[in-house]
Amino acid sequence: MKRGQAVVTDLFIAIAVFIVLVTITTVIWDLYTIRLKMRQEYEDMIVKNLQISDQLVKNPGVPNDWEYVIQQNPDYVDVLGLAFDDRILSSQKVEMFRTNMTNQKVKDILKIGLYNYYFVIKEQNGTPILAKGNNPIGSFNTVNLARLVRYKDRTRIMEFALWK
Amino acid sequence: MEIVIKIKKRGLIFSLDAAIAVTVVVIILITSAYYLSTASKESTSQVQLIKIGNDLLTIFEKEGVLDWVVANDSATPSDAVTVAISESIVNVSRYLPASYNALIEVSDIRETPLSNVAPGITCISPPLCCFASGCNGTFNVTTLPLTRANNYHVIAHASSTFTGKNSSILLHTPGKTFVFATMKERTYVTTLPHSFEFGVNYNLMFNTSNMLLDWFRVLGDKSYATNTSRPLPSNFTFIGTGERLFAYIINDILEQPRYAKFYIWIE
Repeated sequence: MKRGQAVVTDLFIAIAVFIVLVTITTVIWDLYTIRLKMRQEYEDMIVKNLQISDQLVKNPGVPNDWEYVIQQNPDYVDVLGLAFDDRILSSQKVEMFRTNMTNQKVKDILKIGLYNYYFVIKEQNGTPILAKGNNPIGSFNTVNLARLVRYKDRTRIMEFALWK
Repeated sequence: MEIVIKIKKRGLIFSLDAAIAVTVVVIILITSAYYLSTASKESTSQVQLIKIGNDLLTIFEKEGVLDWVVANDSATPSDAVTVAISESIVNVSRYLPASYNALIEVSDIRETPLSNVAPGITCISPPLCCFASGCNGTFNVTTLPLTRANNYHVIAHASSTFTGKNSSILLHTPGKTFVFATMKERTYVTTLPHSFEFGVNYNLMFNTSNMLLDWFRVLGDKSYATNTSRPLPSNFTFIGTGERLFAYIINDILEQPRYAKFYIWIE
Protein backbone atom coordinates (compact mmCIF):
# COMPACT_ATOMS: atom_id res chain seq x y z
CA MET A 1 0.00 0.00 0.00
CA LYS A 2 1.29 3.43 -0.90
CA ARG A 3 1.60 6.08 1.77
CA GLY A 4 -0.82 8.47 -0.01
CA GLN A 5 -3.58 5.84 -0.11
CA ALA A 6 -3.20 5.07 3.60
CA VAL A 7 -3.55 8.74 4.49
CA VAL A 8 -6.75 9.11 2.39
CA THR A 9 -8.30 6.00 4.03
CA ASP A 10 -7.34 7.43 7.41
CA LEU A 11 -9.06 10.68 6.50
CA PHE A 12 -12.25 8.90 5.36
CA ILE A 13 -12.43 6.91 8.56
CA ALA A 14 -11.84 10.03 10.63
CA ILE A 15 -14.57 11.94 8.77
CA ALA A 16 -16.97 9.01 9.10
CA VAL A 17 -16.36 8.71 12.84
CA PHE A 18 -16.67 12.49 13.20
CA ILE A 19 -20.00 12.56 11.33
CA VAL A 20 -21.36 9.66 13.37
CA LEU A 21 -20.31 11.33 16.63
CA VAL A 22 -21.72 14.73 15.60
CA THR A 23 -25.01 13.04 14.62
CA ILE A 24 -25.23 11.11 17.90
CA THR A 25 -24.31 14.22 19.91
CA THR A 26 -26.94 16.33 18.12
CA VAL A 27 -29.66 13.71 18.62
CA ILE A 28 -28.77 13.20 22.27
CA TRP A 29 -28.49 16.97 22.81
CA ASP A 30 -32.02 17.37 21.43
CA LEU A 31 -33.24 14.49 23.55
CA TYR A 32 -31.73 15.99 26.66
CA THR A 33 -33.15 19.42 25.91
CA ILE A 34 -36.60 17.85 25.68
CA ARG A 35 -36.04 15.83 28.85
CA LEU A 36 -34.75 18.88 30.72
CA LYS A 37 -37.80 20.85 29.66
CA MET A 38 -40.08 18.00 30.73
CA ARG A 39 -38.29 17.73 34.04
CA GLN A 40 -38.50 21.47 34.65
CA GLU A 41 -42.21 21.28 33.92
CA TYR A 42 -42.57 18.26 36.21
CA GLU A 43 -40.69 20.02 39.03
CA ASP A 44 -42.87 23.06 38.51
CA MET A 45 -45.96 20.84 38.80
CA ILE A 46 -44.60 19.26 41.99
CA VAL A 47 -43.92 22.65 43.60
CA LYS A 48 -47.34 23.98 42.56
CA ASN A 49 -49.06 20.82 43.81
CA LEU A 50 -47.23 20.98 47.15
CA GLN A 51 -48.27 24.61 47.61
CA ILE A 52 -51.85 23.92 46.55
CA SER A 53 -52.30 20.84 48.75
CA ASP A 54 -50.78 22.71 51.71
CA GLN A 55 -53.06 25.65 51.05
CA LEU A 56 -56.14 23.43 50.85
CA VAL A 57 -55.51 21.39 54.01
CA LYS A 58 -54.08 24.10 56.26
CA ASN A 59 -55.96 27.32 55.44
CA PRO A 60 -59.59 28.42 55.55
CA GLY A 61 -59.08 30.62 52.50
CA VAL A 62 -59.57 34.35 51.94
CA PRO A 63 -62.08 35.55 52.91
CA ASN A 64 -62.41 33.20 55.86
CA ASP A 65 -66.08 32.57 55.19
CA TRP A 66 -65.86 32.36 51.42
CA GLU A 67 -68.27 29.42 51.40
CA TYR A 68 -71.09 31.83 52.38
CA VAL A 69 -69.83 34.86 50.45
CA ILE A 70 -69.59 32.90 47.21
CA GLN A 71 -73.37 32.41 47.15
CA GLN A 72 -73.86 36.17 46.67
CA ASN A 73 -70.71 36.93 44.70
CA PRO A 74 -68.94 34.01 42.97
CA ASP A 75 -65.94 36.22 42.10
CA TYR A 76 -65.20 37.12 45.70
CA VAL A 77 -62.76 34.33 46.53
CA ASP A 78 -59.13 35.43 46.64
CA VAL A 79 -57.51 32.34 48.15
CA LEU A 80 -59.03 28.89 48.14
CA GLY A 81 -58.74 26.92 51.39
CA LEU A 82 -60.83 24.02 52.66
CA ALA A 83 -59.73 23.80 56.31
CA PHE A 84 -61.28 25.24 59.41
CA ASP A 85 -58.25 24.10 61.38
CA ASP A 86 -54.87 22.62 60.42
CA ARG A 87 -55.56 19.35 58.50
CA ILE A 88 -59.24 19.40 59.48
CA LEU A 89 -61.47 20.04 56.48
CA SER A 90 -64.71 21.95 56.74
CA SER A 91 -67.52 19.96 55.17
CA GLN A 92 -69.31 23.20 54.13
CA LYS A 93 -66.23 24.51 52.34
CA VAL A 94 -65.65 21.17 50.61
CA GLU A 95 -69.28 20.98 49.54
CA MET A 96 -69.28 24.55 48.24
CA PHE A 97 -65.98 23.92 46.42
CA ARG A 98 -67.43 20.81 44.82
CA THR A 99 -70.81 22.15 43.79
CA ASN A 100 -70.53 25.93 43.38
CA MET A 101 -67.25 26.40 41.56
CA THR A 102 -66.57 25.69 37.92
CA ASN A 103 -63.35 23.96 36.95
CA GLN A 104 -62.20 27.12 35.20
CA LYS A 105 -62.90 29.20 38.32
CA VAL A 106 -60.84 26.79 40.45
CA LYS A 107 -57.97 26.93 37.96
CA ASP A 108 -58.10 30.73 37.96
CA ILE A 109 -58.04 30.98 41.76
CA LEU A 110 -55.26 28.41 42.09
CA LYS A 111 -53.39 29.97 39.14
CA ILE A 112 -52.93 26.68 37.32
CA GLY A 113 -54.24 27.79 33.94
CA LEU A 114 -51.78 25.60 32.01
CA TYR A 115 -52.78 22.40 33.80
CA ASN A 116 -55.83 20.29 34.57
CA TYR A 117 -56.60 19.19 38.09
CA TYR A 118 -58.34 16.33 39.87
CA PHE A 119 -59.41 16.56 43.50
CA VAL A 120 -60.64 13.53 45.40
CA ILE A 121 -61.34 12.59 49.02
CA LYS A 122 -61.05 8.87 49.76
CA GLU A 123 -61.51 6.48 52.61
CA GLN A 124 -58.29 4.88 53.87
CA ASN A 125 -59.03 1.74 51.87
CA GLY A 126 -59.07 3.85 48.68
CA THR A 127 -62.85 4.14 48.14
CA PRO A 128 -63.59 7.64 46.77
CA ILE A 129 -66.15 9.71 48.69
CA LEU A 130 -66.22 12.75 46.45
CA ALA A 131 -64.30 14.08 43.49
CA LYS A 132 -63.97 17.22 41.38
CA GLY A 133 -62.09 18.05 38.19
CA ASN A 134 -61.01 15.84 35.32
CA ASN A 135 -59.60 12.40 36.04
CA PRO A 136 -56.05 12.13 34.59
CA ILE A 137 -56.57 8.67 33.08
CA GLY A 138 -54.03 8.05 30.33
CA SER A 139 -51.97 11.17 31.04
CA PHE A 140 -48.21 10.64 31.26
CA ASN A 141 -47.55 14.01 32.85
CA THR A 142 -49.34 13.79 36.19
CA VAL A 143 -48.29 14.80 39.70
CA ASN A 144 -50.56 13.38 42.37
CA LEU A 145 -50.11 14.19 46.06
CA ALA A 146 -51.98 12.46 48.87
CA ARG A 147 -52.55 14.12 52.23
CA LEU A 148 -54.02 12.81 55.48
CA VAL A 149 -56.92 14.92 56.69
CA ARG A 150 -59.80 14.82 59.15
CA TYR A 151 -63.03 15.05 57.21
CA LYS A 152 -66.45 14.52 58.76
CA ASP A 153 -64.85 13.26 61.99
CA ARG A 154 -62.76 10.57 60.36
CA THR A 155 -59.22 10.39 59.06
CA ARG A 156 -59.34 10.30 55.27
CA ILE A 157 -57.06 10.79 52.31
CA MET A 158 -57.26 13.91 50.19
CA GLU A 159 -55.58 13.68 46.81
CA PHE A 160 -54.87 16.54 44.47
CA ALA A 161 -53.50 15.80 41.01
CA LEU A 162 -52.11 18.27 38.50
CA TRP A 163 -51.82 16.96 34.97
CA LYS A 164 -51.31 17.96 31.38
CA MET B 1 8.45 -2.35 4.14
CA GLU B 2 9.40 -0.07 7.01
CA ILE B 3 6.93 2.61 5.82
CA VAL B 4 4.01 0.10 5.72
CA ILE B 5 4.64 -1.03 9.32
CA LYS B 6 4.76 2.61 10.51
CA ILE B 7 1.47 3.41 8.71
CA LYS B 8 -0.19 0.29 10.16
CA LYS B 9 0.88 1.29 13.67
CA ARG B 10 -0.44 4.82 13.11
CA GLY B 11 -3.80 3.44 12.02
CA LEU B 12 -4.00 1.20 15.04
CA ILE B 13 -3.30 4.09 17.44
CA PHE B 14 -5.86 6.26 15.67
CA SER B 15 -8.56 3.57 15.90
CA LEU B 16 -7.74 2.92 19.55
CA ASP B 17 -7.96 6.64 20.25
CA ALA B 18 -11.36 6.86 18.58
CA ALA B 19 -12.64 3.77 20.37
CA ILE B 20 -11.60 5.12 23.78
CA ALA B 21 -13.17 8.50 23.03
CA VAL B 22 -16.46 6.92 21.92
CA THR B 23 -16.50 4.63 24.99
CA VAL B 24 -15.94 7.56 27.35
CA VAL B 25 -18.70 9.60 25.68
CA VAL B 26 -21.13 6.67 25.81
CA ILE B 27 -20.37 6.00 29.51
CA ILE B 28 -20.88 9.68 30.39
CA LEU B 29 -24.17 9.80 28.48
CA ILE B 30 -25.51 6.58 30.06
CA THR B 31 -24.52 7.69 33.57
CA SER B 32 -26.07 11.13 33.23
CA ALA B 33 -29.25 9.64 31.71
CA TYR B 34 -29.50 7.24 34.64
CA TYR B 35 -29.09 9.96 37.27
CA LEU B 36 -31.46 12.27 35.44
CA SER B 37 -34.20 9.65 35.44
CA THR B 38 -33.73 8.39 39.02
CA ALA B 39 -33.35 11.84 40.65
CA SER B 40 -36.80 13.06 39.61
CA LYS B 41 -38.52 9.83 40.67
CA GLU B 42 -36.97 9.85 44.14
CA SER B 43 -37.77 13.44 44.97
CA THR B 44 -41.53 13.07 44.37
CA SER B 45 -42.02 9.90 46.41
CA GLN B 46 -39.80 11.19 49.21
CA VAL B 47 -41.65 14.50 49.45
CA GLN B 48 -44.95 12.57 49.44
CA LEU B 49 -43.82 10.36 52.32
CA ILE B 50 -42.63 13.28 54.43
CA LYS B 51 -45.87 15.19 53.81
CA ILE B 52 -47.95 12.19 54.92
CA GLY B 53 -45.74 11.82 58.03
CA ASN B 54 -46.24 15.46 58.97
CA ASP B 55 -49.99 15.14 58.42
CA LEU B 56 -49.99 12.08 60.66
CA LEU B 57 -48.31 13.92 63.55
CA THR B 58 -50.64 16.90 63.15
CA ILE B 59 -53.69 14.63 63.28
CA PHE B 60 -52.23 12.82 66.28
CA GLU B 61 -51.87 16.15 68.05
CA LYS B 62 -55.36 17.33 67.08
CA GLU B 63 -56.93 14.08 68.23
CA GLY B 64 -55.03 14.13 71.51
CA VAL B 65 -53.05 10.96 70.75
CA LEU B 66 -49.74 12.63 71.67
CA ASP B 67 -51.27 14.01 74.89
CA TRP B 68 -52.45 10.49 75.64
CA VAL B 69 -48.88 9.17 75.27
CA VAL B 70 -47.65 11.70 77.85
CA ALA B 71 -50.63 11.22 80.15
CA ASN B 72 -50.23 7.46 80.04
CA ASP B 73 -46.58 7.84 81.01
CA SER B 74 -47.31 10.35 83.78
CA ALA B 75 -49.75 7.91 85.34
CA THR B 76 -46.95 5.43 85.94
CA PRO B 77 -43.77 7.49 86.06
CA SER B 78 -41.21 5.09 87.35
CA ASP B 79 -42.50 2.10 85.34
CA ALA B 80 -41.84 3.70 82.02
CA VAL B 81 -38.14 2.98 81.77
CA THR B 82 -38.38 0.14 79.29
CA VAL B 83 -41.97 0.49 78.07
CA ALA B 84 -42.49 1.36 74.41
CA ILE B 85 -45.50 3.41 73.34
CA SER B 86 -48.39 0.98 73.19
CA GLU B 87 -49.98 0.20 69.82
CA SER B 88 -53.34 0.61 71.50
CA ILE B 89 -52.53 4.31 71.98
CA VAL B 90 -50.63 5.02 68.76
CA ASN B 91 -51.91 2.68 66.10
CA VAL B 92 -50.61 4.16 62.85
CA SER B 93 -52.44 1.57 60.75
CA ARG B 94 -55.72 3.26 61.67
CA TYR B 95 -54.52 6.47 60.03
CA LEU B 96 -52.13 5.65 57.19
CA PRO B 97 -53.08 4.54 53.68
CA ALA B 98 -52.50 0.86 52.87
CA SER B 99 -48.84 -0.19 52.38
CA TYR B 100 -47.54 2.74 54.44
CA ASN B 101 -45.92 2.08 57.79
CA ALA B 102 -44.48 4.37 60.45
CA LEU B 103 -42.71 4.49 63.76
CA ILE B 104 -43.47 7.32 66.19
CA GLU B 105 -41.00 8.56 68.78
CA VAL B 106 -41.82 11.00 71.57
CA SER B 107 -39.06 12.79 73.45
CA ASP B 108 -38.73 13.08 77.24
CA ILE B 109 -40.88 10.15 78.24
CA ARG B 110 -38.41 7.77 79.88
CA GLU B 111 -36.85 8.53 83.22
CA THR B 112 -34.27 7.28 85.68
CA PRO B 113 -36.13 6.05 88.77
CA LEU B 114 -34.58 6.83 92.16
CA SER B 115 -35.79 3.81 94.02
CA ASN B 116 -32.88 4.04 96.49
CA VAL B 117 -34.44 7.20 97.91
CA ALA B 118 -37.59 5.54 99.13
CA PRO B 119 -39.48 6.90 102.11
CA GLY B 120 -38.34 5.26 105.29
CA ILE B 121 -37.29 6.06 108.74
CA THR B 122 -33.70 4.86 108.66
CA CYS B 123 -30.52 6.10 107.07
CA ILE B 124 -29.96 4.19 103.79
CA SER B 125 -26.32 5.14 103.58
CA PRO B 126 -24.27 7.44 105.81
CA PRO B 127 -24.65 10.68 103.84
CA LEU B 128 -28.38 10.16 103.18
CA CYS B 129 -31.13 9.72 105.68
CA CYS B 130 -34.76 9.31 104.62
CA PHE B 131 -37.79 9.88 106.80
CA ALA B 132 -41.50 9.78 106.05
CA SER B 133 -41.44 13.52 105.35
CA GLY B 134 -38.44 13.42 103.02
CA CYS B 135 -34.72 12.71 102.63
CA ASN B 136 -31.74 14.70 103.82
CA GLY B 137 -28.27 14.35 102.35
CA THR B 138 -26.53 13.62 99.07
CA PHE B 139 -26.48 10.59 96.82
CA ASN B 140 -24.98 9.60 93.49
CA VAL B 141 -27.08 9.07 90.36
CA THR B 142 -26.26 7.85 86.86
CA THR B 143 -28.01 8.86 83.67
CA LEU B 144 -29.18 6.58 80.89
CA PRO B 145 -26.54 6.31 78.13
CA LEU B 146 -26.89 9.69 76.40
CA THR B 147 -26.72 9.67 72.61
CA ARG B 148 -25.14 13.14 72.32
CA ALA B 149 -22.82 15.27 74.41
CA ASN B 150 -24.72 18.52 74.91
CA ASN B 151 -26.06 21.08 77.39
CA TYR B 152 -29.27 19.73 78.88
CA HIS B 153 -31.69 20.74 81.62
CA VAL B 154 -32.58 18.12 84.23
CA ILE B 155 -36.11 17.60 85.42
CA ALA B 156 -36.90 15.86 88.71
CA HIS B 157 -40.11 14.57 90.22
CA ALA B 158 -40.14 15.07 93.96
CA SER B 159 -42.47 15.56 96.87
CA SER B 160 -42.41 16.63 100.45
CA THR B 161 -44.73 16.42 103.39
CA PHE B 162 -42.39 18.55 105.45
CA THR B 163 -44.28 21.43 106.98
CA GLY B 164 -41.26 23.68 107.57
CA LYS B 165 -39.67 26.00 105.02
CA ASN B 166 -36.46 24.09 104.37
CA SER B 167 -37.29 21.68 101.58
CA SER B 168 -35.18 21.79 98.45
CA ILE B 169 -33.23 19.77 95.89
CA LEU B 170 -29.91 20.63 94.28
CA LEU B 171 -27.90 18.96 91.54
CA HIS B 172 -24.16 18.78 92.14
CA THR B 173 -21.74 18.19 89.30
CA PRO B 174 -17.94 18.52 89.56
CA GLY B 175 -17.34 22.20 90.39
CA LYS B 176 -20.97 23.33 89.95
CA THR B 177 -24.31 23.36 91.74
CA PHE B 178 -27.63 23.65 89.94
CA VAL B 179 -30.78 24.90 91.59
CA PHE B 180 -34.25 23.71 90.62
CA ALA B 181 -37.31 25.82 89.89
CA THR B 182 -40.86 24.57 90.30
CA MET B 183 -42.30 23.62 86.95
CA LYS B 184 -45.63 22.23 88.01
CA GLU B 185 -46.91 20.24 90.91
CA ARG B 186 -44.16 17.87 92.11
CA THR B 187 -42.00 18.60 89.05
CA TYR B 188 -38.83 20.67 89.24
CA VAL B 189 -36.42 21.69 86.50
CA THR B 190 -32.88 23.08 86.69
CA THR B 191 -32.77 26.80 86.00
CA LEU B 192 -29.56 26.40 83.98
CA PRO B 193 -28.46 23.62 81.61
CA HIS B 194 -25.60 21.31 82.55
CA SER B 195 -22.96 20.09 80.12
CA PHE B 196 -23.35 16.31 79.76
CA GLU B 197 -20.98 13.88 78.09
CA PHE B 198 -21.80 11.15 75.61
CA GLY B 199 -22.85 7.85 77.22
CA VAL B 200 -23.62 7.22 80.87
CA ASN B 201 -22.78 10.18 83.11
CA TYR B 202 -21.66 9.15 86.59
CA ASN B 203 -20.51 12.38 88.24
CA LEU B 204 -23.94 13.60 89.27
CA MET B 205 -25.15 14.02 92.83
CA PHE B 206 -28.50 15.10 94.18
CA ASN B 207 -28.70 16.96 97.43
CA THR B 208 -32.10 16.79 99.06
CA SER B 209 -33.45 18.59 101.99
CA ASN B 210 -36.68 17.12 103.33
CA MET B 211 -37.75 15.91 99.90
CA LEU B 212 -38.50 12.52 98.38
CA LEU B 213 -37.27 12.06 94.83
CA ASP B 214 -39.14 9.70 92.50
CA TRP B 215 -37.19 10.07 89.28
CA PHE B 216 -35.15 12.42 87.12
CA ARG B 217 -34.78 12.89 83.39
CA VAL B 218 -32.21 14.58 81.13
CA LEU B 219 -34.38 16.75 78.90
CA GLY B 220 -33.99 16.52 75.14
CA ASP B 221 -31.71 13.52 74.69
CA LYS B 222 -32.85 10.60 72.54
CA SER B 223 -32.05 8.12 75.30
CA TYR B 224 -34.97 9.52 77.31
CA ALA B 225 -37.32 9.32 74.31
CA THR B 226 -39.52 6.34 73.64
CA ASN B 227 -41.17 4.97 70.53
CA THR B 228 -43.70 2.59 69.10
CA SER B 229 -42.47 -0.93 68.56
CA ARG B 230 -42.65 -1.29 64.76
CA PRO B 231 -39.21 -2.21 63.42
CA LEU B 232 -37.59 0.06 60.85
CA PRO B 233 -36.94 -1.67 57.52
CA SER B 234 -33.42 -3.03 57.27
CA ASN B 235 -33.17 -2.94 53.46
CA PHE B 236 -32.49 0.17 51.40
CA THR B 237 -36.05 1.50 51.57
CA PHE B 238 -36.23 5.28 51.85
CA ILE B 239 -37.35 6.35 55.33
CA GLY B 240 -38.86 9.81 55.61
CA THR B 241 -38.47 11.63 58.92
CA GLY B 242 -39.71 14.82 60.51
CA GLU B 243 -40.75 16.15 63.89
CA ARG B 244 -43.31 18.35 65.56
CA LEU B 245 -43.12 20.32 68.78
CA PHE B 246 -46.13 19.89 71.02
CA ALA B 247 -47.11 20.80 74.56
CA TYR B 248 -49.26 18.79 76.91
CA ILE B 249 -51.57 20.79 79.13
CA ILE B 250 -52.93 19.16 82.27
CA ASN B 251 -55.20 20.96 84.75
CA ASP B 252 -54.48 24.24 82.94
CA ILE B 253 -50.76 23.81 83.61
CA LEU B 254 -48.41 23.65 80.66
CA GLU B 255 -46.19 20.60 80.72
CA GLN B 256 -42.73 20.84 79.20
CA PRO B 257 -42.73 21.01 75.38
CA ARG B 258 -41.83 17.72 73.71
CA TYR B 259 -40.90 16.59 70.23
CA ALA B 260 -42.82 13.91 68.37
CA LYS B 261 -40.81 12.42 65.55
CA PHE B 262 -41.95 10.14 62.75
CA TYR B 263 -40.10 7.60 60.63
CA ILE B 264 -42.26 6.65 57.66
CA TRP B 265 -41.72 4.21 54.82
CA ILE B 266 -43.59 2.23 52.16
CA GLU B 267 -43.62 -1.54 52.59
